[in-house]
Amino acid sequence: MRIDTGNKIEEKELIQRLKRKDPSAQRTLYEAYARYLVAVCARYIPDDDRVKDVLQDSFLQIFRKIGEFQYRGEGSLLAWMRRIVVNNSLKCLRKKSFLPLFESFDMVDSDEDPDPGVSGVPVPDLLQMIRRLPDGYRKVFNLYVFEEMSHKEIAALLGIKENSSCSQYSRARAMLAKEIADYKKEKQL
Amino acid sequence: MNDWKKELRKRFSEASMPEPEGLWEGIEEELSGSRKKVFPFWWPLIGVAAAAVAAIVWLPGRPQSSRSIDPVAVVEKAAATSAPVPEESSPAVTPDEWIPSSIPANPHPAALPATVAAIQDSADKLDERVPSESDSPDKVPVPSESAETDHPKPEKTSPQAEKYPVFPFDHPEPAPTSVLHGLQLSARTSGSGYNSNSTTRYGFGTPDTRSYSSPAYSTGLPYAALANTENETTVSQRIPVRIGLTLSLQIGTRWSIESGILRSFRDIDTRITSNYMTTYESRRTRYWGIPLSLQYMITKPERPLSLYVSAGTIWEKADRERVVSSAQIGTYLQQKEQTDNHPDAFLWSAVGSLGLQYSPVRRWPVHIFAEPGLNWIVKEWKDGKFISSSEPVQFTFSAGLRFSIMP
Repeated sequence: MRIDTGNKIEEKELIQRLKRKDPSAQRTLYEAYARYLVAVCARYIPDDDRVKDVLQDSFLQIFRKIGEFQYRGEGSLLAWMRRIVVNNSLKCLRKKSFLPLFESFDMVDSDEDPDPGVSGVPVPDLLQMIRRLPDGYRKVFNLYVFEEMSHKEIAALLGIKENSSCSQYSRARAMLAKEIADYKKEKQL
Repeated sequence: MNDWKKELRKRFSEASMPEPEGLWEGIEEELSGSRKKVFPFWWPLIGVAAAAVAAIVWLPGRPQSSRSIDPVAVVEKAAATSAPVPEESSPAVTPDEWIPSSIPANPHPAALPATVAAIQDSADKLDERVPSESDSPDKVPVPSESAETDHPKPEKTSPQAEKYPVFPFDHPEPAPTSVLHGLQLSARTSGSGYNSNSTTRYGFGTPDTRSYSSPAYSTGLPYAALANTENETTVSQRIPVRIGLTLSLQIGTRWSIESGILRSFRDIDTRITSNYMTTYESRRTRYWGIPLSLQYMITKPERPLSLYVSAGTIWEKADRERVVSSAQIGTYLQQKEQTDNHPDAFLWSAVGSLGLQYSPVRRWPVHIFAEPGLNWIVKEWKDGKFISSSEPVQFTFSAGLRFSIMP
């Protein structure tokens, strides 16, 4: 993958320079991916100050542990960095929440996954709607939709029951659907 | 059904948000701060450990007179000991005749050279009384009348004893080996030979050029007892045990450096046998030590039970020593117990071990460790001088609590 920084630097070459702790390579990587990673982090953490803290820690971790990264083809570096940001975001949310995630005993119909009506809504507005979801719902929704994890994997990662993951995702989707409906009604879409 | 999720992922893969203000500056500051570091963060820990070692090693010595000495008993045994004397080698004369008054009653091991010299003088005088081969048995010297009044002669005497006087320090049978009581000389009888496999560690007596196997000894003359001053020494050391508290600093995922304070328990039992004297010594020494070691976690660090290897060094200073010793010279038995609360003893050892660490509560920096290993005494300092340890390499066992900290 060519990183479009104006100089057409190859990804592999950039990784080699990063492993040598080249300051200019670090700056290049930051400028290429910072905005994207901000969006990823912002989907998990609604507070902008905490987003900044998590991103700072994430980039430092990326630069310090780049020696352990093994290049596996185009996009592997971005996927690795996104994983680091997601993990740090979840850690931050874990520290913040003093109460266990809400656990619902509702029966969940896993076969149905209706569209909340995302098409036609701009991404920045969708991002803000996701950020307004409760912490637990937001985490499960992001992990299920964007990280493509199963409810079993989510349950293991967050330390909750699988049924709880299902129900929280359903509730998150329902809340998102309501927000989108209100948004469309307001914009007369 | 899942098309909306796929569409959402695709739209968000190109999403971006403006960076928070000052984000890169904060990252750069952290990176340049770590680049500018000249000394690793673990140097202060090493410095503290080195300062503590220096303080212990170069502490002003305590006056020797502060030692407390409690002599237990001094026992005087008569010539007729508990061990029966076989008829063949019944002494022709009693021991009192062979022990001149110039020889102290209960000689201290430190006074042995003088004691030996006194006996040698006595033996030289007896040389004049040795009968030549042409002499008849009738001309064997007869003890003086004064000796007979105090100690009666045995009823039977062997033909050999009639011809030649038997050295009173000889015993016809090997001595019993009880630790503190009933000690007898383990001197060899005439003709039994000497254990040539002696491992000389400590010497007593004055070297003498006359050989053990000389005919003079076989006749039982007393000076032959001085002929050989080699000793047979048996040293038994229990595995040193250390218990204490340590502080471990993580310097990587699996590497850490550790220091702390350990209490060591060293027990040594020594038996020295010569043809003149047998001594037993039981030494119990307690040390305070400061270790410094590097550890590598073999198993994954996040597991509650983990295995690691450790290599390092330890400086130890003795703070208490208890010695129980006993010795018999001639027919006199001495037993002594001594406690030194300020012994002048230091140890510097190298240690290598395989350890087991248990973390009872996850995310707590407190662990319980147990480390069996090998200990090599590099230097041992005792009573103002360096000495060579008889057993420099030993198995050792350490256990205790470890507190780990992350930089």
